[in-house]
Parts: sequence; structure tokens; C-alpha cells
Amino acid sequence: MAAKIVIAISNRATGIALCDRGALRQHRLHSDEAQALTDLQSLIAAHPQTPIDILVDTAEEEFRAEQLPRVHGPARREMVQRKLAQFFRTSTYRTSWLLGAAGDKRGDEIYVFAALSASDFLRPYIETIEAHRAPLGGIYLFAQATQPLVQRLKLRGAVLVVSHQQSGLRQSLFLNGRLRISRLAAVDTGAITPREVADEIEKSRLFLYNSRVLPRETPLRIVVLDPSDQLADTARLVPTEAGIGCEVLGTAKLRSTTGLTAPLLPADAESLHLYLLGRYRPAENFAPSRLTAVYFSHRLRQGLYVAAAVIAGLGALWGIANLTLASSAADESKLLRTQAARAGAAYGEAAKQFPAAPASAEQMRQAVEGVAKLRGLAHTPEPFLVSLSQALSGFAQIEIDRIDWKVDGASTTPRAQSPTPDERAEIDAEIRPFNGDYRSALQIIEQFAAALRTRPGMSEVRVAKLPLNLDPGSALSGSARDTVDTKELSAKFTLSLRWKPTP
Amino acid sequence: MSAVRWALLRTPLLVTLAAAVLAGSWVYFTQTRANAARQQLSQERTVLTSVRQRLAQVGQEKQLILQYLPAYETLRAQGIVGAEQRASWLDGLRAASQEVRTFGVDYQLTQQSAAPIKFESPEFQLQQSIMKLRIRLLHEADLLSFLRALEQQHAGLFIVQSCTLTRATANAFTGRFEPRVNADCELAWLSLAPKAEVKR
Repeated sequence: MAAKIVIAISNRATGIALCDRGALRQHRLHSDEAQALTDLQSLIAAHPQTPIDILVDTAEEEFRAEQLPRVHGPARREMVQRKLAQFFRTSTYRTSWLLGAAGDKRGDEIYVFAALSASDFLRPYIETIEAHRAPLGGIYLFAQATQPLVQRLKLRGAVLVVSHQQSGLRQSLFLNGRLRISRLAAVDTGAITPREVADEIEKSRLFLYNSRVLPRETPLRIVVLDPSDQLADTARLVPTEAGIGCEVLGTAKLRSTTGLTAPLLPADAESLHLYLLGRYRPAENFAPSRLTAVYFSHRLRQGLYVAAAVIAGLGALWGIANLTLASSAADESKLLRTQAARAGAAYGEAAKQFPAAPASAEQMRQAVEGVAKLRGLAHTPEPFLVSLSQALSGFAQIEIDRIDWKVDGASTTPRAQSPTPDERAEIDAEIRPFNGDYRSALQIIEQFAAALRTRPGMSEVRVAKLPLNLDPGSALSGSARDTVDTKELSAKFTLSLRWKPTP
Repeated sequence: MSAVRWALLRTPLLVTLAAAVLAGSWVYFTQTRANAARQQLSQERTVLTSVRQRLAQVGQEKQLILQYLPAYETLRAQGIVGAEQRASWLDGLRAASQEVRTFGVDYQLTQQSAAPIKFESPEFQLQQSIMKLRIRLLHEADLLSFLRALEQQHAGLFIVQSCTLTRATANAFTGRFEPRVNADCELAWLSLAPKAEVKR
């Protein structure tokens, strides 16, 4: 728990203490404001970055409860601010909190709006804090400091907490652990009797019923805080009606509730509430944001230092983990290198038994097997010429002038290792002797082409050029004499072939 | 933000920034070392696995050497593996021409280049040089004899890509001993070059 300076201001005295490590230290009570301010200044000077919380114990408090529709987020904030401005236009110190569900069908909620109707007594303290640029954490009502005690006592329903301090007798009503209203009755300083306390309790009870803050039939539990063990008889004096219960919390009970040991347990209600404020900061703050800006910056500052420490710590751990990993990997690498050297040496010894070779076994295998596959690709025109020759055997009048043979796609594109790529050939031939009878010549050419088509593996035989241009779109000239010199005439033709050698 | 707040936050912001920079640098430095060590370890594992594998297969390797060495030496001698043996090719041409009794062989040889034939081998790259031949023959069947004779010279590995046979004269058989057929052929002489040497 971080240290904080807590100040309890009432119309009669100001209590200032340092709440540190779960206990109030350097607690001083001042009836003189100047002395109190001096004490505050010296405490701030001694603890410049320590947050300050102010507890106000005054009768100038206003409480209003209002049922509002259930909304969330910015709409809720805007609605609450509007109500605060409406109810407490001139009050600087104001706030609100949710009391609970209204219990109706619409799901409305009940809010408590509270403000300090007079706050001039705060100005010197605020000015001192601002002058020293000390972080003001918040300004709270006395009753707000009681709320954690009620929650720790697990008191549900309507609970009226009574405490006597310098400023008077304070009675605060809590509904299901949440502050609803508080009232300060001025009593004489010094000891108050149980009878006086019981009378004030009765007045407050009637006030609550008459002002309809509390329905009459609602069970009410009354808790009297008695850190000095002087009000034990109060419970006996409070009228015991149906639904009313009264309990006095003496030193023992307060010790067990707060967890404080005897020496540390404050002996009066003011100190007790200062301790409670130091230990449990209330969520609702009466100080406007402009006054708590330094505190907010202070928290941010602490957060940044924590973040820096976390970043540095995580980075350090991460780096150490990396270095550990690197070291372990290096050790393992060294071990593996040793093992590899040993295996290499063993291999070297074994390799001495190998016959001398100009290349590694794998290289030789690749070369020998690869060349064997390449030999399978080797082609010659022999199969084609043999097939052509066999086709020609029935056509003595055809003479071949030119044969142009090639392996398909040989020189240009990468070939897959297919052992039987296609082969192409172009044959220029002529019919000899030729007597000018083109019809017979064309017949012979067709027969020859048909004979070639029947050859095994022949996939295409195309007559690319005929001796006679039969195209009606082309010109034609020749001689149609009966007797001609056959040496002058020729019936040349061209065939285009495609074939796949059969394996 | 007001001057008061910034004054409060300046130092912690600088401290946080410094912590982030230092932590980041430290992590980066150590991460780099860890990555390098991991990489080194991975490499050592690979090397060890490879060496162990070789050791385990040393018997098999010896068998492979014994199996392929003679054939490999033959390929080297024929110039199929290693540098081109152009002199051997020309000797082969001459010998084949004499055997078949051609009327002469003219040749043209291109410079060596990568062969377009798919040859899957991590160790070797297939190279080729294109040889254009003009062979003057008595008969077209002599071309086939010539190619057979050339192959039997074992001067290297070649693939016939194209051949064009044309009549040397326009007349029919006259009985004179002169070239009747011209054969223009294109051969691809193939050789395997170790890839390490090709890169050099």
C-alpha cells in the first residue's frame, strides 16, 4: 500500500497524518488553522511526491436521491453531469454515485447526488497544496470513509452508522453497503453519554421516516462506532422495536474488522476514519479534475516507472533466455562437429579401400546412366528410308530428287527424354517417263501417297505440290500436242510426311 | 497538457523510452546471437547426418565404384565426359569416310553450348556442338553406312538431327564412279561437363 497524507478537516479541528505501511504515523490534531497549515507544509516538504487525501467532516453537506433511466457510457455521464449542475449549480465540490436499481419494470436506477454547500474552509489547504505542486488525490466526505467498514462488516439492508468525533455526532445511512445520506449533529466536545447518543439516533430515525428516505417498515440496523469503549450501553438505550437492531463496535470488534493490532488501532473516530481513508480510497471524488491533475500526472509517472521496470525486466529475461539458448546451441554444435569429424575420419579410413576413381561413385553413376538414356534418343534416317524404299518398290516410274528428313523439334525447344519423337520429311520427286498425261500422273501420285499412308508409324502424308496446278485461281500453261519429246516434260511433285518410328 | 504535468512526466517518459530502447537493443542483440547459434547447430546436424549416411553406405559406395568405373572410364576415353574431343570427331569422320568410300566430307562445327535436351543430373551439364556435314555419296544407302561407321569409331556421342539427300546430277545412272547423291546432315555432338567446371 502506497503512503499518503490524509487530512481530516472539521469546524473544530484539523487532523493531519501520514498513512504508511498500514498505519497512521505522525498523526497530529490542530485546533488552529495556521498551525495545521504549517504542519501540512512541513509534511509535504518531507514527502513531496506523496498523494494527499482530504476528509471533510462538516454539516454543510447536501444529499439528493434521484431515479434516472438506465443508460451507459457517455450518455450516463452527460445525464449525471446535467443533474449535478441542476442541483448544485454554485457548488464547486460535488459528485454522484449509483445507489442501486430502482426495482421497477423499466429497470431505472437510483443515484445519490451530493455536494458541499459551503467550502471556504478548504481554500487555505487547497492553496497550500497547489503552491507546493503536491498531488491532491481527492476530497471526500466523512461518511464516505465509513463505507469500507460497513462493507467489511458485511452489513446489508439499511444500516445507520453512528460515530462521535470533534465536530459532533455523525450518523450515516447506508443501503446495501452504499451511502445514502449523512447528518452531523453538533454536540459538546468532550465525552458524550450513551443516552445522548440514543436520543440523537432516535431523532435521526424519525427524520428518515418523515422525509421518506426510509420506509417505516424497513428493518434498520444501528451500528455505533466506539473505538474508546465508552458507549457500550447505547445499544440498551435505543428503543427496541420490531425491525430495529443496535450494536456497539468496541475496540475488540473494530480490531477484528480492520485487522489492526491493538497498538495500531486508532483510539478515536477521527483517527479511525483517517486510517480508513488512507487504506481505502473512495471511488467518488468531490474534487474537480483541475485540482487532481497533478495527482493524475503523479500516477502516470509511477505507471511509467513501473512500465520502464517491467520493460527492462522482461527485456533482461528475454535476453538471458536467448543467451542461454545460444550457449546451449553452441555446445551442441561443438559436440556434433566432433562427432562429424570422427565419422569423417572413419569414412576416410574406409574410403582408402576404394579403387582409385576419377570421380565419386554417384557422379559416375549419373554419367553412365545418363549417357545410356541419351543413346536411346539417337536416331538416324535409316528406318524412314527403309520404309520409303519399301513403299517405292511398287512405283518404278517415280524418281526421288530430294529427301529432307529431320527429327521433330530437334534444335529449338527442350525435348523431354522420349525415345521416339516424331520425324518429318519432305520428298521432292517426279514421274519419269512422262508423256504429258497429267491425269495418269496424278493417279500415280495419289496411289503412291496412299501406299505411304499404309506404312507402319506414318501419321501424316500430305501432297504439298502437284505437277499440275489444279487451283482455278492460278494461271496454267503447257502443251497438249500428240507427239512430244518426253525429255521436255516433267511431272514433279512434293510430299510432306510425318511419322513416328515404331520401336 | 499543462506545464506542471509535462514537467512531472518528462523524466519518466525518457526513462521508459530509454528502458524500451535498451531492452529492445539487448533483445535484438541476443536474438541475433541465438538465431546464429541455432542456424549453426542446424548446419552441424545436416553435416553430421550427411557424413553418417555416407559412412553407413560406404560398402554400397564401393560397390557402385566397382560397377560404374569401367563404363565411366570408357566415356572419358571417348570424350563423352569432360572436355570435347574435337580431334577425335574429325578422326572419326575421316575413318568413316574412308571405310564407306565417300567422295569426301565437308564439315562445319558451331561453338559449344548448353544442349536443349532434358538431362537430369545435379553433377553434370549436357553440352552440345552442332556439326554440319556435306557428304558426297554414290548412293543414298551409303549415308546409312557412313553414319553406322561413324558410330562404330566411338569418337563420341552424337545425335542425327536432320539429313537432306539430293541428287548430285540430273542424269540417271551412267556407270561413272562419281558422286550421285549429296547428303547434308546436321549432327549434335553431346558431352557431359561437370557443373563445377561449367560455373568456373
